[in-house]
Parts: sequence; structure tokens; C-alpha cells
Amino acid sequence: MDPNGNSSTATAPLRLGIVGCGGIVREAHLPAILATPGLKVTGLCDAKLRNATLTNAEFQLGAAVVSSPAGLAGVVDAAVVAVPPRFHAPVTIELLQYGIAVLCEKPLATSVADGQKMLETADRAGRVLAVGFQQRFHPNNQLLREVLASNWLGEIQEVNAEFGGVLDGFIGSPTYVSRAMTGGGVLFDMGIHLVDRVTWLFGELREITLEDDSYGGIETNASLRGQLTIHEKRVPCSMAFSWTHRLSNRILVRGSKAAVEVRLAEPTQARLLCDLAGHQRTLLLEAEAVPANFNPHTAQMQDFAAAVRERRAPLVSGRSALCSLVVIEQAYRVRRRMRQPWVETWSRA
Amino acid sequence: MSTPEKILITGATGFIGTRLCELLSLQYRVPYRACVRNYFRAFRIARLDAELAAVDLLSPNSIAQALAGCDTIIHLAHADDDRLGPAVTANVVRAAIQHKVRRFIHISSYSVHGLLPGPDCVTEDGPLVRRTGDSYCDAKAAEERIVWRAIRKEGLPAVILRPTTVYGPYAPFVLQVINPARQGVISLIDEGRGKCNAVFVDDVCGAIHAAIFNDRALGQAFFVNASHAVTWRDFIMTFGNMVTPAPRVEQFTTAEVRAALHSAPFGENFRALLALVKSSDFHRQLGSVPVFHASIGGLKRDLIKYLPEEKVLALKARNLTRANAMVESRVTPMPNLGRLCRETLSVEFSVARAAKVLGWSPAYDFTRGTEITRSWLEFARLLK
Repeated sequence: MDPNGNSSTATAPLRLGIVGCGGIVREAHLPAILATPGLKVTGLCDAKLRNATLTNAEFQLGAAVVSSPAGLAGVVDAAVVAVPPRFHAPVTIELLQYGIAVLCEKPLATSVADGQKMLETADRAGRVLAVGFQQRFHPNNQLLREVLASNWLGEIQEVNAEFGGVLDGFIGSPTYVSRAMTGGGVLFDMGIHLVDRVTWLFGELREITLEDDSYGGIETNASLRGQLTIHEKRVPCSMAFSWTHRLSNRILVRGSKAAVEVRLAEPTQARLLCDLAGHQRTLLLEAEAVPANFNPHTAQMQDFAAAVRERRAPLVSGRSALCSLVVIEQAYRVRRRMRQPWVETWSRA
Repeated sequence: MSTPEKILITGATGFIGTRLCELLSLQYRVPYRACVRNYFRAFRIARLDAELAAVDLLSPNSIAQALAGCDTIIHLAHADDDRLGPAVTANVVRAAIQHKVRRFIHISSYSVHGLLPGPDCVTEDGPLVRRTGDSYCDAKAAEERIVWRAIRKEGLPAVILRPTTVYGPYAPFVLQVINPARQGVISLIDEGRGKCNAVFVDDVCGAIHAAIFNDRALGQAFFVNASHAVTWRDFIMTFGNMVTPAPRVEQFTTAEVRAALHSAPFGENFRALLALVKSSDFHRQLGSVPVFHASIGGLKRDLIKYLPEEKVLALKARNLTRANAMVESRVTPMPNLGRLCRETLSVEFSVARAAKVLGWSPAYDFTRGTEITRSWLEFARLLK
């Protein structure tokens, strides 16, 4: 029996299932799973059985193929849940009730209430519940912490974080654009990565305000503001998110003497922006002992597998992941529409 | 015509379509259903909590289903592959006739008069081109002929609008100046003396709105243009100089551009050949040869069996997905054929008929239109 009381032995591979065999599974999760020793995909589940069958064939997994989570009971010890967000809670709860540990895609759920039910179920079942916030595994988080712990920056004055880009590709379903089918727009769906990372790095965000461009539907641009407490001082924090244009895609911490920046596309580096002899300079800091082919999805998969085996909390536990959902739910409650003079042209006509 | 029960909008996720949805929702307050092919393109209209419908305009059944409860069609869709444009329009027109819609508004283009319309095209009565060799002009003219035929033979209650060079927030014509300006260089042809028939996108939507209600406009075509044409120099320099630092300006003559076009390098020929081999239209043509027909069909069927659903949909849609105008690519200051034709135009399209019959006149002059566009460019961080 493995530490979860399932049939895998300590030396046998952990039996893994996947619920939802869409693009993110093929492009991110399965490569990470295949790069993680000691995992074997033994069950694939998709409401459209054909997707699971094709994934099974494409990756030559030899897994059982089922159309509902119940089919994974007894077949897997742990599962990745990668279905649309509105199904995260019911699918995860069902799997946990079967004694299956879960790595759930972000956002944890579409509401804090649902997220709490997921945590309670995991606690009752004594199973691991992890959430797919891979950015927490970026080695430059440690660099950022070290810079903050030092006195390089002086007094911290502000934190700014941005995610923005034009999504390209093809999606034939309204799952991510229909207010009725998802929990929100860019803030909820992609911005939550940054909200999670900022609150994980710096602690609770208070005095939250949100401006976004929604006119009753999902938002495609959002500006989230609040106050952090860093070194026992209040520090203003601003975050911007966009699905219509590119933003700086980084976290910047500005101090009285210097600033430090971590870019989303450079997970192993941090940039120290400082004044040296009257010149603005950028010093590149490089994380040590990072594999050349570092992949945050693989890092999280390894952590999840180890957490299941060792019966310990994963780095991104469901409980810690709930914090970002709390921030977003609070933000939506106080949201105001941002000024968009290029939209409301008639008011000047 | 009284307020429509509901409007079906094809091409709703495009530049004009998205702005029309915004104005229908927020200003005009007219109910509508927006046709969507790729929901990744629908984020901006999803802000409006609009009614979205997944529609394949190459499928008559799909259009018929989308039309349920609608009595008006605004047909903005073309096709990313120009050659499919007439088929799309024929399907939509057929559905409109079968469904007995009360109003059909076809968004055409001044390109129906060819790449370089002459003085006979100052008014809407100029001839439609048949075969210019330019796929966009030929397709838009063919589409308009389909609508004219339906008006004459089937009594389709249609209005045809021919917008000129439409600009505004998110406009491809604006981004075609801003993107190279951000890379440090913009260019003018013949010092930018050509007429730029720039019309602000809200004016185009205003004309569409007028066409919904004005019965006198039925069975007629109208140019939708600004009252006074600016030059291409005005247009390019106005937007180019919004960028900081200001870009360098390179000057070309028509002769220089023509010479460069005639000596296209090997790379361009290779890319064009590759695009031809990959195009579904080429496959269709090849499939008309019996010996290739079975093998192409079989190969595609085999491929589909082994591909996940979204990959199949993406492949099917590859001809309907135009390169995202917001995504910058490296630009060369040497203008292409499209620019050469547009920017050496000497015709100013008249909006006299639109004013007289449609009861519509442009509300935005170039200064106001560019101010509004600038506010969006700043927000989208495209000016640095």
C-alpha cells in the first residue's frame, strides 16, 4: 500500500489519472508527467471519450479510457484535473471522495465557497489537494526574496505586477468567454497566476480596488490595486491584466535605492535596477543549481508526486491557493468600470 | 423599418463587427446575436455579455439555426481566404431569403471598383470589377453581385454599404502605421499625395444603424466615407508621429515600388508557393482531377481520425483566421502592392447619395477620429 492507502507500493510507480484531455494536458501536463520519474498514467477521462482515446494513442500511454471520474476509482492513486473551471469543484470533490489525490488546474474553483468545500473534502479524505500555480516554482522567487531580505532596495515603495498579451489560437467553445460558464475574464483566468504569486511572496493584499472594462460580460482588461505589508510597512501594490494588448509581464518591486524585476518569461533570472556612479544599470542575477531544461510544470509535478508519496502538503496546497481566489472575489465585489473614452465615444459626440 | 426583433451579425469578431456590437449594446440598444467562429477572437464582445452563437458560415444549416428569432442580418463576414468569400455570402444570402428577413445589410467595400478606381467611381454607379487578379477586389465584387442578384430576382430587402478606409481603435490600417513606426521607420509613396478616404469606424456603424431603419435605402448601394478626404501623408504622419521616439520617414516613388515588386526575392516566391501548397483551395482544385480526388480525401479522413477535436477545428478554421493585426512582425519600409494601390488613389468617394437617401452623414472629422484612436493607442501602450 502507498502512503495514501492505495495499491501502489513505495517502489511501484504512482498511478496517475488525467481528467480533461484538452490542449493544456497535451502541451503542458503530459510532457511534465513523462519527465517525472515514478509516475505512470493509468487512467484518462474526458466527457468526450474520443479526446481521451486520441491522447492515449498520441502519447502511447496504455491507460484505461473512461468518460466520467467514477471510472478512475481504483485505477489511479492521484489525478490531474484539467477540465473547464466550473467543473473543478465537482470533479475534484468526486475524486477526493474516491481517495484520489488531486492536482487541480487553476483557478481552484469559480467561487471561494466551492473552494472551501474542496479543501474540506480533501481534509476529510486525508488526500493531497494541489493547485496548478506553476509560477511559484520559478527559481527567481528565491532571488526576489533574497534581494528583499537584503538592504539593496532601501525602503520598499511599491510593487507592480503585470500580465498581458493577445491570445491567439483557436477555441470553438464559449467556455472561457461566457459569464455563465466561467468565473470571470482575464483577472480570474490568467491574472490569478500573478495574484497568487504576489500574495504568496508578499502576504495578504488589503484595501482592494478593481477597475475593469466589463460591460456585463467578462473583463478583458483589469487594474487591481491594494496594500501589502512588507517589512512591517504598508506598500501600495498595483496589478494590471490584459487580453487585448501586451503588458510588461513582470513583477517589479521598487525601493528608495533600487528596484528588482522578475520577468515571467525568465524564470531563473532577476534584474536589479540600480544607480551605479550616476548611471542607471541593470544587474542580472541568476538562480543557481537550476537544470538547463527547467520547466515549472515538471517541477510542480515532481512536488505533487512527492507530496502524495510522503503524505505532506504540496508547495501549492489547496488552502494556500484559496487566497488568490479570495482576493479576486473581493475585487469583483468592489469593481468599477474603467474609463474607456474610445468606447463611450457618444458621450463626447 | 421599425426596431428589429433581433439582428444576426456575421463577422462580429472583426474590427468593424466588434465596434458595431459595442454600439448596439451600449448606445443603439438593439438586440443582436453575434456569429462567432473562433472564441479566442470574441473576448471583446464577450465584455458586453452579448449573445454569441458558434456559426460556420460555410454550412447552410449552421446559418439557418443561427437565424432563429432574427429578422435582420448585418453581413460583415468575408473570409480570411478571399476565395471563400463569395461562397460565404451566397450561403448567408440564401438563408436570408429562406428566412424572409426584413432587412439585409451587406457590408461591401470600395474595392468592388478594383485596385485603382478611376474618376467614374466617384459615385456608387461606377462599374463593379470582374477579374482584376487581386483576390480581395475580385471576391468583394463577386459578393456584391450575389447580393444585387438576390435583390433583383428574389426581392431581398437589402442595403449595400461600401466603407472606404476604415480607421479607429484596433483598426488594421492604423496598426499598419503604428507597428513600423515603433520599429523606427515609416514610409510614404509619392510624398503621400494620394487620397486617403479615411472614415472613422463609428461613422461606419452609424451608417449601418441608418440602413436598418431607412426604407428608402433599400435596393441601393452607398459609399461610407468622411466628408473630406485627407491625404495618405496626413494619415501616416499623424499616426506615425504619435509614436515616441518619432520614426524616420522613408520616401518612395511609385516607380521604385513597382520595380521592387517586380524583383521579389526568392524567399517571397518560396513563401507564396508554400502558402499555395498548404491552401485548402489548392487542395480543392487538385481534387477536381479524378486521380488526386480519392487520395486527398482519404488522407484528410485518416488525418482527422488521429487528431484531437480542437486540432481538427483549428485546421478547418485555418483559412478563416486572419493573422492577428495586433501581433507585430518585422516590417520593411518598402510598401507592398496593397499599399501602392491604396496610397496612390486619386479618387474621393462621394457620400452625397448617403446623405440624400440614407439620411446619414459622417459625424467625425479626422481630428476627432484620431484623438479617440490615440486614447486607445495610449491605453494599449502602442505609442512607445
